[in-house]
Amino acid sequence: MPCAPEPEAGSKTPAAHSQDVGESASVRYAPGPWTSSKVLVTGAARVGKSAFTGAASDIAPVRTIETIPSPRGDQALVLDLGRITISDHHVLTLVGAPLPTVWDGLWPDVARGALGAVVLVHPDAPEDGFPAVEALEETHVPFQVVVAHLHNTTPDVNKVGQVLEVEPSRVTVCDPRSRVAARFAIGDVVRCALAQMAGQVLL
Amino acid sequence: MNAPTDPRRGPAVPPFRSPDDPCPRLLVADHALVLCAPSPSPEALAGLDDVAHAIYRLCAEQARGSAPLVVMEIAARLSYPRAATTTHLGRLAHLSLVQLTNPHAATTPHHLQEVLDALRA
Repeated sequence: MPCAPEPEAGSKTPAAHSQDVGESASVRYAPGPWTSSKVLVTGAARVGKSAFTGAASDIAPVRTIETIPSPRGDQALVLDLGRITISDHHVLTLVGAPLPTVWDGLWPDVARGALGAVVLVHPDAPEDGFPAVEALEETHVPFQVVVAHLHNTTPDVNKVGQVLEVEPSRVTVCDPRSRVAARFAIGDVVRCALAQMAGQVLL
Repeated sequence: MNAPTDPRRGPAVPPFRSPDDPCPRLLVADHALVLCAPSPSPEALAGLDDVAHAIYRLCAEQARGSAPLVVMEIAARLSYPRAATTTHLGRLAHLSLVQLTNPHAATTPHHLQEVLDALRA
């Protein structure tokens, strides 16, 4: 069930509608041809997906929680939607989503159209990100492994790369609570996507 | 979870959800931006029901100060079922109260470079 505030509902008459919107008569089509793009932020539970999305986003992320029936009982599926205004005609949406193993039905649509993905992993448990790496490789979505650098740990980029079978250049260390670091990591995703488009093979 | 039906995929990521699975999926992949009409027809506005009006009002308020909303964000912000949101947005577009941009995400090198430049600026 989404957690965003409910809109005012119910008792408006058509006349009231007209009056309300009359206040916004100054609205206009946004200039120019608008485009939107999407970056997926995924990772294991409690690894910092929400913090990462919130830090990078221009706005407070909109959180949606769906309750999914599962063999282990009802399970909460959290989606965070953030956004970065890239230019006056381009919006980048950040979708924070759980691993594909949490709920496979969501994954194809979340990944569809994404220009890239951040696979957030804990430095002590990088193997938890493997389902995401596997799924992203299958769907040909460029991704960057981002090691959450927290509590003064010293993440080993080479070890993470070995565990997830990616080159160290595909691993970024980042404090997911830092706006600058989070955006830099997203930039690494985009750089990876551009490299793949240019025909470079990044494994 | 259903068994995978696509031989290219392993068991970790079954490709299809159960038909009984109620969780919405449509709008997560809808990248269309919703742009408000410059001069909404009072007659069209007066004929809107509460849900459609709430969607229009949200989009109009957004249009005042910042970039337009993406369809998938509207459903999340308003807590409406995705399918209902899609239906109402289609009706608003039919009434020329909003314009919906291309639902496909921008993934060309030009757009990616634009994103990279903005993030590294």
